[in-house]
Amino acid sequence: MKFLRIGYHNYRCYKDDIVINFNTTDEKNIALIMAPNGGGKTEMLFSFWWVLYGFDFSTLKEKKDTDYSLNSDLYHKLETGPVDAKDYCYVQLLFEVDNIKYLLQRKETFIKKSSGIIPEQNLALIEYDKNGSKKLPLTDTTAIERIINKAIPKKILNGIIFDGERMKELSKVGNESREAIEGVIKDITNEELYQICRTELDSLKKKIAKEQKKLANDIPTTSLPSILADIEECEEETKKAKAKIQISQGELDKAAEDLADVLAELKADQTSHDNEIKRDGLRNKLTSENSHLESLTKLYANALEECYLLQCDKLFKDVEDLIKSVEIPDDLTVKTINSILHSKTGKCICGHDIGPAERAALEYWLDKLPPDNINSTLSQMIKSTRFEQSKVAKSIKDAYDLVVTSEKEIAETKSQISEISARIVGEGVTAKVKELEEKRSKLEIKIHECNVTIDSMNDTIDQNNKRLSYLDKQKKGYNENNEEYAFLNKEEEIINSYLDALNEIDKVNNKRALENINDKLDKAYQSLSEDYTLQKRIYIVQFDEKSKYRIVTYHQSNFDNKFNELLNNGQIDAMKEQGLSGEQIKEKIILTIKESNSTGQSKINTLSFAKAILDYSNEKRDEDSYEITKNYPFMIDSPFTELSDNNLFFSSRELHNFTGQIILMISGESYAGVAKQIDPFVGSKTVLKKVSGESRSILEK
Amino acid sequence: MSKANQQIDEILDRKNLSESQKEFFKKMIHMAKIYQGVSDDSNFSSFLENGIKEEAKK
Repeated sequence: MKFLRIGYHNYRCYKDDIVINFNTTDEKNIALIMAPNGGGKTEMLFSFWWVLYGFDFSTLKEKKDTDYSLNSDLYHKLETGPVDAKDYCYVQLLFEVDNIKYLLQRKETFIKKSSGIIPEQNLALIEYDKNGSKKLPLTDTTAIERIINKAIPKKILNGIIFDGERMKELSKVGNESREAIEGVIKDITNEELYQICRTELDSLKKKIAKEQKKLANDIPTTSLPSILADIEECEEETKKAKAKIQISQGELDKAAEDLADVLAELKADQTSHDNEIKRDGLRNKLTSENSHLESLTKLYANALEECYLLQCDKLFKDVEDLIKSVEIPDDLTVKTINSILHSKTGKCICGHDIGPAERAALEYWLDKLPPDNINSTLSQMIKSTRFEQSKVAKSIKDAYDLVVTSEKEIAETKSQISEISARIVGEGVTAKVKELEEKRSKLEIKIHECNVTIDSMNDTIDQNNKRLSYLDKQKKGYNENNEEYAFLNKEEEIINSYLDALNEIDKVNNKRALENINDKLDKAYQSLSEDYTLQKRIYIVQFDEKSKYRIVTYHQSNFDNKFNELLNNGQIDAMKEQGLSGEQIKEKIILTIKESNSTGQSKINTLSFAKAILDYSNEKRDEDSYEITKNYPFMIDSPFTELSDNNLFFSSRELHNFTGQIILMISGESYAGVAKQIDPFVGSKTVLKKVSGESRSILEK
Repeated sequence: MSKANQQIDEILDRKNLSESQKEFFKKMIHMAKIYQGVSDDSNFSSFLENGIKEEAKK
């Protein structure tokens, strides 16, 4: 498939009539659209989507305010214009499939009513025959969509149209990659072929059931009609149960995805939340430390009250000095002097005569001498006071040390609080976490409810199957009695076997296709990512129901280590015993070691993914295969921003190898960095520019 | 033979079908491919109905 031309009238930023030709060839397969930021690149990208299948503009992050196809200036004019005023826009796309050209036009008319602006869309498709003559235009939407869906199925658009935002997100968001992979697999494995058979077999089965019922009424027995009615009831119940399972599975998938988002958000906020909890703990600790310091300070103050003892020291020293300065012999006491003065012999104890001079001296000393034993009393007092002093000094020092330690602890806690506060992003994170926890809990309940419904419906199906098998046996019992009836049963048996086989074919086709896409993904990643040489690998989940079709990355060395660990502790053997295949075991290991990616890496993952599914679609099939080879075009907006070094070099070098036609939207500045790699493959080049003061882009001459 | 067709054969072998029923199954898919994309597929319906009848007769 190839796009040949696109034309606009009053569409979004293309207010003027603009026609862009994509003159690409096999050798020069890149159609280059160059425009500055806001110059209409993304608008053009999604205009392909709009003209093919319609597009919800409100899903574009930056364009929510203009969620309509008409140029916004014209739309605002209508808003303020009179009732019944109208305007319209259209996009025309000329494309070629298997050498047949088609011109598709989607037109939307906007009519001002008193209730607001009412849009109305219509489609037209013109087929050109091989001579280039137009056939009568088709206007039946269903018939047109059938043709478009054959050329380029809606589901695969997610895998071949990428703007910058989706390039970053694809490997994180499950739904879009899932839809793209499923869409491509169904398209390439030609699932429609088996679906046609299934639908026809189902309607044939219903027809046979009717005939059986009619015939049963003619057979002279009372129980056969009731058996058939029971079978019909059973089958109806099973059908309803299957429908319920499908709905519940859809809800379950949605809830699981929402839960994954909530958990990711929670994880991001959890660190802040944990820090808030830590900070609260530290604040409590600080409060108790402060009150401890208060009591220690009291103890210190009490110790200081004894401090006067330390001040006595100088006084005691003065007394000692004074005693020494008087020069009274140590053994001369009041009692001794008195005994000398009142001696009957008039002599000293040493036999010396005591004359008037000696008497006067003795009387002088008597007057000066303190009471008897005062010296020793004082000495005793000083000694014991000094002992007290050392105790007081120690207790003051201890109390002081405790206060200092406590103050240090408080300072440390305060510093921890301020450090942790700096790590808390935004206030009120705890409230947000609480809200997320509530969401998580609701989603977990929802998942549980869905699982309960699915289990219960599966039980119903099991019971019905058992009942059906019993009823079938009874029903077959009538075969012997009625040849016509036996024939109908045989027809039904063949149909059932065919339906079973078709379901199995779907499963093996899906498995084989996923294996093939994974091989291609590995090769694409090898050619596009600089991380491949650093042992990084990419994988699309094939077996795990919860994360099926998700794109994950891991390191080969981590895989080898984990594998050896599981091999040594016997878990690999245990998994084999459980019946898991080598591929399933490999996937289980990958899911335990998967890694996150930077923005640039995510873009490379998306490019690898796109290349893998394009390679898979373009692959030549065996002649006897019912699979189809499709050459989808690839449309991409600003793929190289946020890429650097080898990632930039490899991806720009490989772009022309992606598929038969690549429509590349890029800014001039970004193109300058990759022109050397891209230029040799450019088949057509269109330059768009913005018009000052208007929501309008035009072609640069 | 392509891997896809080989797998179809393996599935049919497990379905307890006669050789002729297996052949008709393959013919059914082949005919579905011919009628694929044709808006009026009533011919396919009658082909299938007649074929199943024939198989049931055998």
